[in-house]
Amino acid sequence: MSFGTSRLNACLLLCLLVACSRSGEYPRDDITIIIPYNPGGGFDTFVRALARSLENHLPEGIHVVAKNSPGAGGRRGANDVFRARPDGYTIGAFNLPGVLVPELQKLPIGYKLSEVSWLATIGSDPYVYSVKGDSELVSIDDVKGLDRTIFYGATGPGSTAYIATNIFNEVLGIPYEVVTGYKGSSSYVLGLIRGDFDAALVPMSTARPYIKSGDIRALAIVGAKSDDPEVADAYALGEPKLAEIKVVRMIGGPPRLPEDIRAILETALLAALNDQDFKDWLQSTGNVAQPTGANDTAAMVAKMSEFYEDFEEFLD
Amino acid sequence: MIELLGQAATDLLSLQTILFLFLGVIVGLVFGVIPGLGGTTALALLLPLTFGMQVIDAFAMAGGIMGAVAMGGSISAILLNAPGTAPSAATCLDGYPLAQQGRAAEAIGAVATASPLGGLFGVLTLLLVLPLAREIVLLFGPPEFFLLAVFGIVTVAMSDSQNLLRGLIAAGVGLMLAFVGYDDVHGGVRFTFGSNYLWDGIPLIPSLVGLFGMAEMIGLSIKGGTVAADTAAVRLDGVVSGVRATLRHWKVVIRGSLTGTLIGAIPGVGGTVATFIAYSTTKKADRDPDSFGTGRIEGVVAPESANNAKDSGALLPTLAFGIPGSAEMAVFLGILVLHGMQPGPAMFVDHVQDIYGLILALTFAAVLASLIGLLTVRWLAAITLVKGQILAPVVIAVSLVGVYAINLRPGDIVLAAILGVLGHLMIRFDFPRLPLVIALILGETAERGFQQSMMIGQGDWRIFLHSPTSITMLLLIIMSLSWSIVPILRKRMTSS
Amino acid sequence: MVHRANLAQTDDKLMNKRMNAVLPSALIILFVIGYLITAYVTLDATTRRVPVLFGFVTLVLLAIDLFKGVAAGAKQSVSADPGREIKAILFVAGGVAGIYLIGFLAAIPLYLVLSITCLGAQPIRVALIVALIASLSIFLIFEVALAYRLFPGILFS
Repeated sequence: MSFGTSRLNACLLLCLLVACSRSGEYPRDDITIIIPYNPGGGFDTFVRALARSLENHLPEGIHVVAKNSPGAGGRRGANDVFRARPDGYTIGAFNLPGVLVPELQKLPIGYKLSEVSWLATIGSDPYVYSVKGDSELVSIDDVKGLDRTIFYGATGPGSTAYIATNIFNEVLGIPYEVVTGYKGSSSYVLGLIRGDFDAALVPMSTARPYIKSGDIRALAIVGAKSDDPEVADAYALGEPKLAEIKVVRMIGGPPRLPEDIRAILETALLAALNDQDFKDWLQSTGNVAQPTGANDTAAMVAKMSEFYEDFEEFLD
Repeated sequence: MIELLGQAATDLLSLQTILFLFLGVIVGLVFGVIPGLGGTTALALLLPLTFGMQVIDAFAMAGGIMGAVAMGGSISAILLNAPGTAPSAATCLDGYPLAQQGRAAEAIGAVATASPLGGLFGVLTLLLVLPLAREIVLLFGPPEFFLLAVFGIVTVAMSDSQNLLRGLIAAGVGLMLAFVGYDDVHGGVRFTFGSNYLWDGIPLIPSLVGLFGMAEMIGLSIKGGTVAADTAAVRLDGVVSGVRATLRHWKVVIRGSLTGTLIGAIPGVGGTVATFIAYSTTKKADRDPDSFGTGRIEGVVAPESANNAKDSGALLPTLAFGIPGSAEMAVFLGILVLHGMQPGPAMFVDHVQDIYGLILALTFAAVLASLIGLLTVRWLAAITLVKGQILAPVVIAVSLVGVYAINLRPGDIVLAAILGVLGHLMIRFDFPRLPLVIALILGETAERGFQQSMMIGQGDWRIFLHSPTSITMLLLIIMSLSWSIVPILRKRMTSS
Repeated sequence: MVHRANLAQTDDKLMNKRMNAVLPSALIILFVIGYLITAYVTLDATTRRVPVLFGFVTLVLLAIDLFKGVAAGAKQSVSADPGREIKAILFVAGGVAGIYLIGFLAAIPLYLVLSITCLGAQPIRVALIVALIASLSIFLIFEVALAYRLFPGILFS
């Protein structure tokens, strides 16, 4: 063998060795989890904490890197995940129905939720119908009794808060107007306390400390059962449909994710969500997780699509 | 309160915590100096690392970063006209001309003194005002935000009396650019031409790096020479006169710090525009406002005092309501939540000691960063002696990398370059850049405030008179307008 | 003879100055008109209300500025060397294009060497040393210390 050929063989052997060392079980490299909001927000921190917990349930040395992709109420993040390569190295968090409604409205968004490879549900956040802490209103009947247009505050049109406000008032037949454009739920809670408007639908995770301090008062809760007899829930209001309205946070991957990769991610995610350390952290921040697996998540997406489609006309 | 402060100080004094503080200061300085990176990026990188750290250590590091970033940003603002952070852009205005006159060391000395003084003043104000945090934050609703934004834009647009018309045009263009992107109020996407990149509007940091830093560097590579126009006149030992200058102008320091803390306390954009407004108000109140921009040392002392003070102010809405007072605070919020601290009414009850620890960390960091700045001033000022033909391409290259590093979006590189060329043209044709920047920052707040006020007031314009705060803001706007217009009218009348 | 040539030069300079006074406003007016047309075509009435308002206000201000420029004509900075200016801008554009195509780590050394030697007329030895140190520092700070993955360019990704 000439010098040249033996050199070539050595190279080929080296390449083969390298290829072999790189092949092997998934995951072999860091996984990116896309957060559709700015760093620092409640959702962002939640997912980052989850990412940390997730690392403990993946093979040694595999990191879960959070990447923020904020924009347009979660749509850009959804877009990023949908368009990523289905190799299991990019997954992302989705906020429903926030990212669901633009799809129902047939807006040009670049993703299809029914094709997302769903992995798990993190949990949901019900909405609290709130008024100012020193308000004279103590029940929804009082609100109806005002016999005028009720003003609400919410984030942008298309956001879950806006959708929830619209549907709530349509179903109960209360004349309403929404002051949109507040940046985040903390912003419109502030507006409520300040008196910019009459009432607001506030996600429970944001509302909790303000209810506790007396700055706002809860009149009703949608999306969950009420523990407090003074606070009505969907059933007490006589409209069980309203129990469907809540923010649901899910984790998913790009379409056509291979089944074995999907299974590995689902197992790891559920283990991370049920991890005791993670649960302790949740407890300390007042968050709640209700982990559900991939199939149930996909089913929930389908169910939510159906539900919100009925209300499509109110969602503009 | 004193005993709580004392307690917090003892907590901070553990070796481990001090090391974290020091680390934060170094990171803050480096991130502050490199154009594009800044406190927000540093904190965002830091955020996941703090998981599992003790609260006081995380706060020491975060405080170190936030306190030092201002100093770092000002250094590159002075030496290269490339603001390391958004608020530092105000320091460019007189800082770079000083460097061009060979007085970079003096400018850095002034900045290094004004910075911790401003920070200290801000902290004292914060401690006094902390119990009223909620009430202060509640003062600002949509009508007040609208009026504040108008005040900011008007003040800055009309601050250059030689170029009033072009300043207004620049502000107009800035506003037009501010409307690019997703409209939170009505839910439409504007001027994005179908791409994802502009969904959130024109990003601020790449714009600033381009408009100020790269524009100046392009100019330098055309003109040749060095940053310091006359290398013989460079005084590398001018730092002491800089320190003395700040102490001499203590009134400017106080005015700047006060402005910084108050405006920094306004949720949302307060922290970003505080330095610009401090600069503009100092310029207006001066006997010779037209000399600002040519190398007045007060033009550097004012924004610098505001720069650190604003961080204290920005803590108010962040802690009281979880509404970030500035971009850095937004990330800092995440660190809070990560450690199980929910901002809101309970914050001041359950975690007061940790908050005091943070406040102390901020103060120490500012002092530490200044000392480091003062120690290295000779080497830093020597940058103004480097040949522009070598310096300019290097700074442009580093800026492009820094800008990319913020969000890993290639579009940011292109944007910075385009705005670099635009900025260069603006310099050439005497269009002031600051009004464009301020309008770009405040445009969204102004529009949102206006639209929401109209919804709340149901179309009634009297909503803008509905509170003492809004009436005060209206008076401030009128004052600002007359301050600018009256001297011009007077000149016209005497000359005709 | 010389006198007449000088007069011709002064006329040229004045023309240059007048153009400088008018050119920027004219260009910005074009931009604003483009902006307004885009607004009317792509947006509905409510969303375009505010941008259009400011577009028109700016247009009015620009018209005033244009008028002032045409009338007075002689207050602008005369262009020292338009050729050099265009060259400098092209270099930056080239740098950005390079980064986009072949990524930071390949384009930056190239950009630095070319800028320092061609545009800056410095000796090539200096250019190479600076390019090496700068590129290495960038690599160490960003890719190693901060663990960023610097843009590899669309040709390589």
